[in-house]
Amino acid sequence: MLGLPLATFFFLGLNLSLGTVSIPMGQVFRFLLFQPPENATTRMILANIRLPRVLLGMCVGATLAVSGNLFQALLRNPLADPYILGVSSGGAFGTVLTIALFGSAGTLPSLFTNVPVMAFAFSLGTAFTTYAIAKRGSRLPVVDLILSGVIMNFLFGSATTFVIVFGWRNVQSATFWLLGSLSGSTWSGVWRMLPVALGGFFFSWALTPSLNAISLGEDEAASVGVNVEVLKTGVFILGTLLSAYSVTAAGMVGFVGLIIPHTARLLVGPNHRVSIPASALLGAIFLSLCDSLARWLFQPTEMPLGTITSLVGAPIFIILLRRNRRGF
Amino acid sequence: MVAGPVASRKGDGEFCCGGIFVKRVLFVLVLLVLVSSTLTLGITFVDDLGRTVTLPESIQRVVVGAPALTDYLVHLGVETRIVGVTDWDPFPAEKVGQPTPMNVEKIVSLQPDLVLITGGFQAPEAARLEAFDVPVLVCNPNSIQDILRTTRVLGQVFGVPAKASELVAQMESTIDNWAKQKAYTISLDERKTIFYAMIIGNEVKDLWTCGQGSFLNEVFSYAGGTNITGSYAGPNGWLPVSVEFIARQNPDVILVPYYYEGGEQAARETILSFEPWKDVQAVKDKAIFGIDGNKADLPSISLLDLIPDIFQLLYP
Repeated sequence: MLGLPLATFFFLGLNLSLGTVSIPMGQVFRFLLFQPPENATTRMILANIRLPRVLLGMCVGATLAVSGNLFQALLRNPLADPYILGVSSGGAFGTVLTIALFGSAGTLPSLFTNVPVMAFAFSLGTAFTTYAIAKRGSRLPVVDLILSGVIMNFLFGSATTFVIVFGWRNVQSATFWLLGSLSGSTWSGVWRMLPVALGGFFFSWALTPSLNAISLGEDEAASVGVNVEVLKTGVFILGTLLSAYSVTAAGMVGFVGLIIPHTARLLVGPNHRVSIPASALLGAIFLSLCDSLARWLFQPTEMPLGTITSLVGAPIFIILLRRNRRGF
Repeated sequence: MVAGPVASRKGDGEFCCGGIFVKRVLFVLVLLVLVSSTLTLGITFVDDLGRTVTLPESIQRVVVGAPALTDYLVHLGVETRIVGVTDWDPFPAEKVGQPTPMNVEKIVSLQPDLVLITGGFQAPEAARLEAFDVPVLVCNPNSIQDILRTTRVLGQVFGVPAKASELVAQMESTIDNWAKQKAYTISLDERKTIFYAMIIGNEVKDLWTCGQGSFLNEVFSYAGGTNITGSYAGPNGWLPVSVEFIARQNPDVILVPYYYEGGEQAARETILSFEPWKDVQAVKDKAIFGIDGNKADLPSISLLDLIPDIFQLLYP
């Protein structure tokens, strides 16, 4: 049980050490134990550039993984991930539309020209449209939810392509949004993400008994006294808020929310009391490690984060799938 | 500054306590004035995003975010102060990654006094770099007038205003000697029509060209040519055109950019053997010429070299 937290700490050190400027592990761990290095530039890089970036990556990874875990329990579908209900395609559309209309903003202070804000708004809008389409009176059939999610993904996917073709402007800055990037993370980014990551985690963890019940099936859950429809709506809202908020911090990073919950269940079993914390820690390790690879592999050129998560994640997923045929 | 502590050591009698206090206050005040005066040293510029930027008087280490800006520094003779350039910039300095998103860590590790970037898609980098206390100046030249002004601004920034004036005078005389004295004397009927074909690889497809508002369109006018797409607008002055449109406009001359030795020949062959254009005047006359793409792409001082080059191609 202590293994994962210790591994998380180890990978925190490793991630701080990797980068364009290489910093020895010894120096990094002394830094983590409050003995900052002598060299002012190294200190600046560790304290103000790398540490916020690694921490933000960990928060986003943990949040996406927890959100994926929620959706897999809710939809009882191994292919479910935080983006299945249209969060990513809605966010992508919001991003590209904002960039096409207002340039790659950032310099403009207004709320409606701000890429993260618009990505968040469109993510939520798309997910709730999905929800509205699937809703049957007071019931929320899971199959309808997945199907309407697929349709929304197609719809906003082609809308995004449409804007890219006719919007001309600055597709390059959109690329990094669409594939995710933690480049230029600051402490204020960490302070914006950390409360949501922690809150989302503890809230999800507190739902353990209900999540355990519903992953056995809706009738079983109802028979042990869970209000299934309220729970489904609640889990949907929680999962959507968490993934949409992650999108505002790091763009559309794929794959984390899909494979990490599976991996966590393979390691610690299906009980949400342990699989949620394990998802959070594994997600934190996985995403921050992928980000380190993104900035280290082809330095000083940075790769978009999403390409690395898929490149690294897909083989791991295939190996796990082959080994544990019945595990899913 | 030294007077404060020395004086206070003298006054160890109890009557002097008030005096020590006053001296301490004075000492702190003097210190504050000194510190604030060093902070305000430097020159304040308004950059091309309209931001006010205060830079130190002497810039010794600069990271350049765009090849066009590197060209200014080379012409100003301050290229030895370049400590980093982006990928694809041919200047031999350390690479700092893509123009966007910029690799903050790499840039900070080079300890620059200044990072120069362009506007447009690179504009958001200014705020991102400044979040890490890296001073940034945005230079976004888009026309020949902008090039003259940017030369002067960078001359001031790097403390070589005389060199900048000299360069500006040279550019003005290029315009004077070729555009005003030669090109403008050609009657309107006789001015050659130009199509600028930005072909990718050795294939005529996805054609882009320069239109109204592009710096290259200005160069063509100064060289006495008529750009057949000169009255059409596009993003930043550049636009895609169809093969049919060019065939119908029937240009006298086709110019193609080339980027390596021998590239000119390959580009010529491609266009000469392009079946749909076999009746175009330029193809019939074999009036297809390469121009140095590394100059034609960059809104910088080297761009003006193309004015005499193109004039001589058009009116041999």
